Amino acid sequence: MTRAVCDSGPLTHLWQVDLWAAFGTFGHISLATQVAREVRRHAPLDQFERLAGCALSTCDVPQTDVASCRSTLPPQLELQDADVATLHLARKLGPDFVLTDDLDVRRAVESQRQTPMGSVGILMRAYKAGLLNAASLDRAIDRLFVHSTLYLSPAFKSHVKRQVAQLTALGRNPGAAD
Amino acid sequence: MQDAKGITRELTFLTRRTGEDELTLLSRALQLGLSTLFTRTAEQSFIDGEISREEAVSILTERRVQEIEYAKQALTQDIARGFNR
Repeated sequence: MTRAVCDSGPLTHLWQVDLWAAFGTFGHISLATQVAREVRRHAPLDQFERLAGCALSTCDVPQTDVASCRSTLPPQLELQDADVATLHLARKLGPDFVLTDDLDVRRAVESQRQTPMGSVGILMRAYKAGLLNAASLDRAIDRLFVHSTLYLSPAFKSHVKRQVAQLTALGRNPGAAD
Repeated sequence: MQDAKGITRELTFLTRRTGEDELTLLSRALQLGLSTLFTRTAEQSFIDGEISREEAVSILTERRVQEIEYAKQALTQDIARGFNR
C-alpha cells in the first residue's frame, strides 16, 4: 500500500479540477490538522475518502513540534506553520511520498531525504493506473496550469504537455476510464 | 482585458487621485505593461529553450532563473515518477 503525507496544495488544486479520484492510487494519506483546516476552507474534506477512494487521517502536530522542526530547516525557505507541520509529520511517519505543489516545501522534503510529488505526478500515477485516459489527462493539465505558484504556472503548460504527450504516445493506456 | 469604459474609469480615477495628466499616466502605464510583458515573455522563452541561460539571467536575474530551473526539474521528475509508479 502506498502511503503519503500531503499538504494543502494538491488537495485544493485537484479538487478545483474535479479530480480527487486521481488520489485513488494511494492507499492512505495523512494530513496535519493545520493542513486539514486550510483545505476545509476550499473543499469538502469529509467527502474525500468517498470521492478519492483512498483512506485519509488527520494527525495532531502540536505547536512545540512545529517550532522544533522549523529550527532544523534551512532558514531561507519560506514556510508557513502548516508546511512545517507537514514536514514534521513526514519525518514521523516515513511515507512513500510527500505530496506538495510548493517548491520551498519540496526543497525541504528533499533535504530530509524523502520523495516529493506534486499534482502533476499524482495525475500521471492516475493515468498509469487506468484511472484517467489520455484525453482526461490532457484536459486536467489545461485546467491545472492557471495558478500563480511557479509549479503550476501557465508558462509551464506547454512544456508539461509536450513531455506527457511523449510518454502517453509511447505507453498507450487504452482500457482507461474517462 | 479592460474595455474602453473600464480604461476611462481607471484613468479618470488616477488623474483625480494623483494630479498627473493623462499623457504622463498613459506613458507610465505603457512602460509598466511593457516591462511585465518583457519579463513574462523572457520566462516563457527560457522555459521553452528559445533563449540561453545567460540571456535569461541578464533579463530575469540569477535567482529567478534558478527558481525556474528548479520548477522545471520538479515537473520533469514528477512526470517520470508518476509514469513509472
